[in-house]
Amino acid sequence: MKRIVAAILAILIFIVLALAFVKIPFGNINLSDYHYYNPITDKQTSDSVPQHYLVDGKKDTGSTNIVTAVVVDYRGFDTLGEVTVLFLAATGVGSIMYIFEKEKRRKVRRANAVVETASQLLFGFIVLFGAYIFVHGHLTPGGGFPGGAVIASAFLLLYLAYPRFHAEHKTLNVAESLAGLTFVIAGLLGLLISGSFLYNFLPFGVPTYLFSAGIIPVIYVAVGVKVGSELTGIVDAMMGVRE
Amino acid sequence: MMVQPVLLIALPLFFAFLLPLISLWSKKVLKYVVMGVMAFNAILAFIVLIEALKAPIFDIIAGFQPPLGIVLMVGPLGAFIALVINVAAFVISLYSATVTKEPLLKYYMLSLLILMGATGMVLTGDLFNLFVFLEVTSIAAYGLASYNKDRKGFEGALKYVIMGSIGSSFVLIGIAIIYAQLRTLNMLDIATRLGEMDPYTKIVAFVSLFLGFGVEAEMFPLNAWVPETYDGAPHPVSAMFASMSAKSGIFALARVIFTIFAFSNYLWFVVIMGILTVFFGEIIAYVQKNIKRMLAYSSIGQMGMIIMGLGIGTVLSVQGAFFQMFSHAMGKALLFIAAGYMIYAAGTDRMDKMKGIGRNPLIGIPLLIGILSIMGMPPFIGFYGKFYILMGGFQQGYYAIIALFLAASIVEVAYYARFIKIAFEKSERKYPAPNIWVYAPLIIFAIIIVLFGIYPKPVMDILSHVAAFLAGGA
Amino acid sequence: MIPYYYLASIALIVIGIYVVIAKKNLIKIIIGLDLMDTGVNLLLIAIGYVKGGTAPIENANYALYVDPIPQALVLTAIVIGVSVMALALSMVIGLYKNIGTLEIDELRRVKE
Repeated sequence: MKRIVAAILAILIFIVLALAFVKIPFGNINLSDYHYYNPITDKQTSDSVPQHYLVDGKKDTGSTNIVTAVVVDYRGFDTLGEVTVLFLAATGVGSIMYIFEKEKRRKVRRANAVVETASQLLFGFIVLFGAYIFVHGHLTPGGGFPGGAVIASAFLLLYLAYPRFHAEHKTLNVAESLAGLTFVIAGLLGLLISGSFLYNFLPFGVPTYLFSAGIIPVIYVAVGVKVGSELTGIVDAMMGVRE
Repeated sequence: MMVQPVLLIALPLFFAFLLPLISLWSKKVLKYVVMGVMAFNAILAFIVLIEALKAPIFDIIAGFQPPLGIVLMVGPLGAFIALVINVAAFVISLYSATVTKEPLLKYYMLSLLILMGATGMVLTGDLFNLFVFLEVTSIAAYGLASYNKDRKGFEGALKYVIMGSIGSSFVLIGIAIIYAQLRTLNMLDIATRLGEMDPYTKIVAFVSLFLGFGVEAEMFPLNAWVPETYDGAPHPVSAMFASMSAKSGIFALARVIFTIFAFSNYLWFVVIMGILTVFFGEIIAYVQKNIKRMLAYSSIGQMGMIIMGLGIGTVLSVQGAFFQMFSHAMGKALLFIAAGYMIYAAGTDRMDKMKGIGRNPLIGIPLLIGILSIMGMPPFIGFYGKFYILMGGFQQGYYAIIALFLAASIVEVAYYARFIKIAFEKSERKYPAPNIWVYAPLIIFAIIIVLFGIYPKPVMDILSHVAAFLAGGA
Repeated sequence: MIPYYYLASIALIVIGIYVVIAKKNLIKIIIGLDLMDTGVNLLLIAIGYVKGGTAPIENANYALYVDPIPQALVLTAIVIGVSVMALALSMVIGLYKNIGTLEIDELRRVKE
């Protein structure tokens, strides 16, 4: 009975949504066909938002990767919220997994020598690669989130190879706090210097150089450290206490 | 003095990131830090409200003109709801001092961030940013709902997670449809260029957004999570849900209905959803024996009344809806705090085991004020909201809806009267006296309810800006 | 004619909805939520596609780029999805610790 209701509902939603997307072209669009309206100056422009990003993005933000320009600069406030969401998830998981603290310690088996040696060799390289990804966020694909995830995967490898490995909670907490504070303080400095939160107040430098694009690399390093430590924290909390 | 609205969001966030560092130094000061931040935030919200009454504030983020960058759009109504949320958060944070279950650090971080999310949802002027803040609010709420870490808490929280994720997927679908046709995310930009959208697609986008935000606003088909989540959550958290996350959800609904889609010919849909929500909530509340469940269902009923008020869509009824948001935030938070004390004192959550609990005047008088206000009795703030919604209904000639609304209100009066009778009955049983963290918030809420009930003019002055809001302004 | 990219992502969304409503195991329900998230993310990416366009990173060989905004939005949406999944799974672990079952039917039976 429940299945039939569910199936009917699913088919209904499918039809409604599919009919809505009939009118939306796929691929055959020209981004400069659109235009926008500025509600503050009350003006219609012939420019469209994505076209503006693609054409003037480098000039506005100093970043050659336009997605990064959008994520960290034009819509940096969303990214602050996104970082907060991940922080919340880590906090929530930590709060829930607190029930394990009093529990009996779980027995685990050692991994074999191949895994242990290989993970020792690889750990440094993986962390280095993660750092590379988030440091070059404004130049190449990637950025703080993928870079942080790569770093967390290095720690995940350690958890697999050494079942008794335990990341120090205090260090993780301090790292994620400091990284989060860096982001907020960068925003507040922008507010102080130019009157606009998250304003890109550092000099842009020469595009395509590592030290360019103002505060974008600073924020992406903070995000990378934060994401790395939070995902590691989540993994650690979910593993429980092991003996 | 000019205060930028973004500080209302940045400040709680800053301190939420700072708390783990503070806890390394001392765990005892955490609760005072949180209270201090929330009090300061409430003062900032008050200053922002005074600014916004002069002219709507557009706070540009990252220095890019909208719609290129994100902008906070703070009109008088948004600032008013933000103030209500911040004041409620501060008073509830006093009651949070009674929470003793570990890990307290996480509890305080989550409670700061739910405030940040709810405030952000009210202030933002960008559709996708609204989604991000919706997620901040609801993920903080998931964490808080399961904070008790017992069976009830996990079940309620899981239900909330499932409903909430479906809701947020629908919000994203709505955003995708709108973006695909207009290539913009700013609310006012969308509103001015809505005519370029295909009519059918527009309705699908509206329904997606409406249902998505309806989860947080406790709207009828998507509110099955409400009773279990409220029941399983710690007592201060139930109060937070009623006065913070539900209020920001309903304000997001108002934004979708009036700011983005200035629909006038589909408002009957909103009215019907509202009246269904009212009935669903009030009827089931009548048969509840568990006090927190009864309050949760009553909360659904009240949210339904607000949705109805928005749906009727005249200036009067929307004023009533906003007044109702204010009175419900204050009154329901009071009742949940009182219920928390009563469950603690009676050792059970069944109402029939709470005979005579209101005979202690520190509890009884605020409790009575709260219940009478929620019922809609004249000298308290609850009266004005219901009254204006009804007046709006008369203006539009929705007589059948008014009759149903009154019937639901009678049911509401009946079950609250029953509860009053139990609470003030003569009984031999001695209950432990409440401590300061319990009666201080109760008395503060009671004073607000009486004060603005006798002298509603300041609130009415703020709500006189409703006409501009309905016309699609900030 | 609807492009099958849209059809496929909408199909993923409704399969997710079906799973969430019809299945009785909590882990399966969470998988359903994940399917919904994935479908929505694909949908968002699909609306940003421009025929012949390349990734929006400055490239001397191309003149046409796809729309960068949906990609930025999806980045945010993915992180949010991951966060919700992590929380939901930890709640399931907690519930299992408390009752020892993940079937909704058995959960109801234990209640009475």
